Amino acid sequence: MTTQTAQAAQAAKDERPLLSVQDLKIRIQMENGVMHAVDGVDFEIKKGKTLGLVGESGCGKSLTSRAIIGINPKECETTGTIGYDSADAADSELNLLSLDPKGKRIRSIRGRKIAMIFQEPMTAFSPMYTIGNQIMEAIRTHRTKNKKEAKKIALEMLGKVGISDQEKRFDQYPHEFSGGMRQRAMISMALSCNPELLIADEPTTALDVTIQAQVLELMQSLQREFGMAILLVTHDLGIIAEMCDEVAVMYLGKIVEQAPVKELFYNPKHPYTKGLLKSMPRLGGEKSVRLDSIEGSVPMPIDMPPMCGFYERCKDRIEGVCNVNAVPKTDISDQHTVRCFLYTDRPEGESP
Amino acid sequence: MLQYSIKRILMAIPVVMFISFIVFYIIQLPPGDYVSSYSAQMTAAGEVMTQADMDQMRANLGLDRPVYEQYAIWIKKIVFYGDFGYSFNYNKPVMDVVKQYMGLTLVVSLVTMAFQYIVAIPIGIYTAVKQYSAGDYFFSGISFLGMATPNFLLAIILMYLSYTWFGDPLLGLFSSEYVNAPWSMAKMMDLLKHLVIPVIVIGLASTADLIRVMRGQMLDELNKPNVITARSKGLSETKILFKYPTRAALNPIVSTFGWSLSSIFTGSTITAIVLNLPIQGPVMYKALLGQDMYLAGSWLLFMSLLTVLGTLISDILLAWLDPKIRTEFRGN
Amino acid sequence: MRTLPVFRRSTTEALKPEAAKDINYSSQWRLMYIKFKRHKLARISLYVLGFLYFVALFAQFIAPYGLQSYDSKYVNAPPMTVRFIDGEGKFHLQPFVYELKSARDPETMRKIFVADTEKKYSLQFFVKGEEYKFLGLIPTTRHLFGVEEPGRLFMLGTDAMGRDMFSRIVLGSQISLSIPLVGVGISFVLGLIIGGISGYFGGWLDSIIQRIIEIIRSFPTLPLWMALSAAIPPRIPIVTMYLYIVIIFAFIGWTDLARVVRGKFISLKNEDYVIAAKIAGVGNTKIIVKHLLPGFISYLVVATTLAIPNMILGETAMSFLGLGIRSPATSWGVLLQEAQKIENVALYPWKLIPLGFVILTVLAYNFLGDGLRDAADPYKK
Repeated sequence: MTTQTAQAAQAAKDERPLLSVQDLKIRIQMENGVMHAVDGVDFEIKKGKTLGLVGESGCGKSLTSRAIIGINPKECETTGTIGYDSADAADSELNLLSLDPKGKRIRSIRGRKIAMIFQEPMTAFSPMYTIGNQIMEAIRTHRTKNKKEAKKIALEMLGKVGISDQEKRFDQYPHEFSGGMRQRAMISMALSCNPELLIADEPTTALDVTIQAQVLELMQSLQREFGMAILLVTHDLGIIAEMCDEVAVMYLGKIVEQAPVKELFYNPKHPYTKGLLKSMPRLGGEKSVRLDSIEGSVPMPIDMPPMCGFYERCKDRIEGVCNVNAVPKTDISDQHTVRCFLYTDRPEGESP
Repeated sequence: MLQYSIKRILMAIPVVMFISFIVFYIIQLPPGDYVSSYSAQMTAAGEVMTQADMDQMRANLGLDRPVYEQYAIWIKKIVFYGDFGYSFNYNKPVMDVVKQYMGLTLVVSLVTMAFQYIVAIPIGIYTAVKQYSAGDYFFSGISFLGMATPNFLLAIILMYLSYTWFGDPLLGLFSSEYVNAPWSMAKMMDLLKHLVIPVIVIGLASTADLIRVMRGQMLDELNKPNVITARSKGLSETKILFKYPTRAALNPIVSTFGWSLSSIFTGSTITAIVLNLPIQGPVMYKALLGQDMYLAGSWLLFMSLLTVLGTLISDILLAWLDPKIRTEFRGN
Repeated sequence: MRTLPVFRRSTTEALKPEAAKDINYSSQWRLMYIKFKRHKLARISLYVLGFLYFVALFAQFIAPYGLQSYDSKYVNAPPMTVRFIDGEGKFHLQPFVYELKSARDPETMRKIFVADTEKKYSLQFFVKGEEYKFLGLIPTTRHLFGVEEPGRLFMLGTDAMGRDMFSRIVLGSQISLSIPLVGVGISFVLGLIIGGISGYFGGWLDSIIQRIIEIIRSFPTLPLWMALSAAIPPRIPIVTMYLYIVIIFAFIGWTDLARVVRGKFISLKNEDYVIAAKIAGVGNTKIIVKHLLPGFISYLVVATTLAIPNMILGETAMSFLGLGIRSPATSWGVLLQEAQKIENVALYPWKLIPLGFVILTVLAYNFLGDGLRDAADPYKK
């Protein structure tokens, strides 16, 4: 093999996304039927980039993010593929979904290659152990068995996330931390093994606005420093606008629109996306104008017929089309896709 | 922490004093006194006591004085001389009777206590982790039955089974040949054999209760976000199970240590009567029925003290186990 | 990216799914009912308890014999088999029993009973028997079922005095099933009032009540029961004895409920809606009745239900030891006294039958309480 071809191969490899989720479906058996909590989701995350997954609570965004590292409860029946392509040869071109969720292989990826931070830093930490203990645990599982070394790394990480007086903080319990501090500690724990992908599940929802901004800024600066990719799950479009390169809008288990962030904000296509954007307050907007809201509420995705989940609430619905056929995916441009009959040339829908 | 403990102990003192008075009052409640029941016994035996005899006896025993005076004398002797009074039935000081039975009572209680935790905790963890499995239903069924069966009747059924299977109902704590024998390996084994039924019977209800508490706690803890966090760090399932949910679920369980001992002490009473165990239960029962007031009163007082002490230990244990409370003390 | 408009925390709160099903709009009690219906064991338990209490209510009518009627010919007789097919293999539409005749066991020479296939008595409805007052009002001699004299019907055998166990279990259920209810009822009222005062008003009143509760709770339950029961004078009327025992049980039971009520009051009285009502000038009584009680009454019902099994077991234990209900009154615990001797259990195992009823009742109350708890839990779907 010549160096040229090797370089070309390397370049091709760099082009490949770090994570590519295809046709992810999560079904949950309920008392009154099967809930299609996630129903055919596709997306990709490129190395070092940030993808935002936005949607209302209950749309399946958290389940989707947790499915990536296989930590959903066992009641969730998950199908599809989750391709993961680490820079490490040992972990390249893996289908994470094919791994035993309790096995060694996926555990060696959790926390080391793909780390996660959660919404509620109070409950995400155990109240029984010190912060230091819980941070060191990840380090000792993946990086070094040596306790002293692990502590050194943990203290260093605490410093990186802007926690002062680390030695003292290290031995404190979660309840002795403020909300923002806890989330910082959580981030330091997630980044302690230098992951390639950080999944942030509503990382700032439980925090107040000023702390929110600080934490987001911290995440951005750490992303620059470590060069990791981020999957940001949130219901807050404001955070998306600030943080993300690309956005996927989820509604009722499906991605209804996906585009680069600017494209989505300036040229939204799906009525739901439009509704979401209209319902947001804008700095410098007219004071007396009432904010729009989306009428109605999200139906339960139990035994849904093939139809658009947004049909009931949609202002632009086409009767006889939207409520009888499954919505196909339509390309608006190279990077912009939407699931809506308004833009498709296939009104007969998608074959199930 | 120390300050908290001291405060709790000081608060317990008036409670104990009040209890002692109520105990004495309750002991006085039954109609008649020791002398009248003694004279009834004598009459049954064919000897008639005159009123003068009875008054004389009352005066000797101090029973002719008002209740509060009797109480004051009783307490004074306890506090200053450690003298708990005299048992009319046994014809010796209460303390001697207590000493005679205390050893075996402690043995039965402590073994039962160990039994209930050793059995309940693993089963509680297992049934929570394997919720809705066949094993879960099996143990839940057993523990429901255990809570619903009056334990003294269970004792009879087990005795009957042991009689039909082994030809020995295993009454008491020793076979007849060992009762007065000096301690030896064989006597020890005999005791262990005889302990099986009492320990199961006395411990079953609270074991069943503990299993349910442990299972419920575990189910709560297993659904906590910190378990998902631990999983996302790449820890193994076994390590997660023992480090997070189990540790947290044990908190309320460990804090039951304190009152568990006193509840076994008192809960064993009826079983001990049925199984004819030489421990405090039957002694207390006879004392109550026979108006042996100082013995009955002392026992009641001990039990109450044990309950107060148990609650105290539980509270302190809980405070010590919970980082939230512990760090508060560290802060001060 | 900075050129984009700055978005603040969005108003997505308004978008939260409000209700997917009608269930979310139902009232508290309706919701509890729906959830309770789903709990199978609890539903069955409710039927079982309903049946038991129904039988207890009409006990004198349902029991073929009275509490004290005995027949010394039939001491320790085993349960009779109610048959449809006779010795010759002939089927009878009307069930019947054979008379028992005593014989000697050829090996042990012990007295035993064997069925006398010569003498057959048909089971009949509304037979004449001992006189009693139906529901305590209407004097009558009719019993639901039985056999004609001189026949005897011992469906669950007899005791050491030749009394019918079935009749005694049915009649005993009146006391065994009502004591826990009345006892818990009294504790409920006491707990609600005292706990409510303690929790709502707080301050020195709360401190005093808390100390008293602490003292009562420091008494070991069983010995205290024993001590108090020993204080009940012998040979007093049944009703007085019954009252004494109920009061003893309630005296100890109320503290648990009072603690629950107090805790709930304290946590609820600082809720915004209660403070709002106070500011609006609503009176104490109205706040308690309208705003506080509905917040936890369901929880109290659950706690009360779960307190019943302990009372049943307590009554059984006390009566068993001769410290509770005493002859001539009968409860299941009294009936079990004969099972105290292991020989009795070995030779006449039917004497353990009342135990089955105790277990059944306790289990039913436990499951019922579990079902109610799940139903009352607003977080459980």
